[in-house]
Amino acid sequence: MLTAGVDVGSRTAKVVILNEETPVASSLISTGPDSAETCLTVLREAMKAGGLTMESLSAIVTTGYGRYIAPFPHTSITEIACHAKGVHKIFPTARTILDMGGQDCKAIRLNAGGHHTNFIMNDKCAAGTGRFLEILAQSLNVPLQEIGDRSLEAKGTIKISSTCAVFARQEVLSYRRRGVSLEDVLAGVHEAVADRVFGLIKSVGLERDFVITGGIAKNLGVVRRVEKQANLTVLIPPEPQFTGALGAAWLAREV
Amino acid sequence: MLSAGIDVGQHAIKVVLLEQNIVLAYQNMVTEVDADTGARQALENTLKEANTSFDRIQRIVSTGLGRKEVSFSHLQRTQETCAARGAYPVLGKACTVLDAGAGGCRAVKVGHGGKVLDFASNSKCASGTGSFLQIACEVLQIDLAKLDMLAGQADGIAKVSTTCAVFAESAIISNVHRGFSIEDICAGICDSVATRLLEVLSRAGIEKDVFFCGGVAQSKTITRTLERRLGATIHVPTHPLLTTALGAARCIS
Repeated sequence: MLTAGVDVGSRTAKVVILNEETPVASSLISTGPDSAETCLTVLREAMKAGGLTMESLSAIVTTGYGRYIAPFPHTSITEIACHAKGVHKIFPTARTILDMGGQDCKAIRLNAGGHHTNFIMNDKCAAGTGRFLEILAQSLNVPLQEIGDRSLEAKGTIKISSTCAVFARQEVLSYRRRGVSLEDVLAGVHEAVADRVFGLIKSVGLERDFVITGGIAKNLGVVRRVEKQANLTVLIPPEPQFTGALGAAWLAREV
Repeated sequence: MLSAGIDVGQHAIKVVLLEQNIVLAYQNMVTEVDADTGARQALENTLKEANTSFDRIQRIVSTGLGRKEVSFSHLQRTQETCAARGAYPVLGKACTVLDAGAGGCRAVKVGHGGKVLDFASNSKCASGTGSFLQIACEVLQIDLAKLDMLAGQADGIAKVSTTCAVFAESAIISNVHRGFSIEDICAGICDSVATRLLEVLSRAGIEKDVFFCGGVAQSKTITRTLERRLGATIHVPTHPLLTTALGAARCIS
């Protein structure tokens, strides 16, 4: 049985193909202006990468904010359920998940069976999301891939008082004008994100094991600071951006 | 008595020089320097215009986000107090003052005699502020007056987020790509700001008369939208940017 999980996020779309219980192909593309077309393109690319035909798929589950508009037969399942499933398959001992995406952030609690029991989500505002980091990286003129590591090279830090990315941007620029080093400013930026997301984790309650997924899981500047606040070592899947798609592909086996 | 009100905002510093309740001179200065230096410059310019000197001023009152950074002020007052003091004498009756600037917005419910009864504010989030309008103008490469005019000519509304300026910015870009008319896009921007302002207004309590000031009050489309949705009369002063500085200059006792 061949199943597909399609996760159409605000910034990127991801697909994982499962042959029985083994992932056999995946793909990731940027979400274009037309979400339906994005769904189709990302799925075709995964099928091509695995040398498979669309007709051989038994079931497709879509998730993410673009999940309803896929132009092929599918079942839509929430990101929360898909993330819980995906993480459970990689780390069966996981009980708390922090999923940090491009435009939203969720804290999810799950049970031993991999089902979510509670969650909280910020999708109303860019604070604590990938977009926040992207905006600040841009205004500080540092490539997004480098900001996390450089923030860990800081000798000091700054306090960003603004929650909002727009005001934080003005704040960091004024720190730079006053001569604060780039690394110290970046440290403050990452602390602001860690504070924000840790607030979400506290509201759902933190239980071990603790897993971080989503694109920002690759940013060690955020991960280390969240670990420090949680006083726990965080588990990170080898490909954190694919967790939702992987869970969707697993759930497709049950629909 | 000669007094000066200095309103140090996120985007600009406003100064009003007041003598016996008559405005002698005023300044609205966009500044890149630190608040203290900028405030001093703006005050010097105002004094020059009024043909008077620094030592003649008996009271300097600072307000706004950067009010604590003005080293030479005698008093510091919150924006809420100053907005109420600036607005109340104009209408002379109970009203709600809505002050929307670059760094935040606030609604102040003012009772008879100018007493502040209640207020609500948003200074945590750029949504519903002048900063959001600035971002929108940059994206569309037009100025605020043009944005306002185009919004006034719209047939529809290309909606954007009312909770986050960053998400709204992305939505504006995608609305452009999706082929919405520039008028509808501008209308969506004004609608987003108005929606957020209504939320702040309703938290403070809405009186029959609303006094609308701050840079955002320069938008006629936002004013009309508020008027339509509230069913209240909205009063916008001739110089909406100066209300808070004027109120500060009045905080002399």
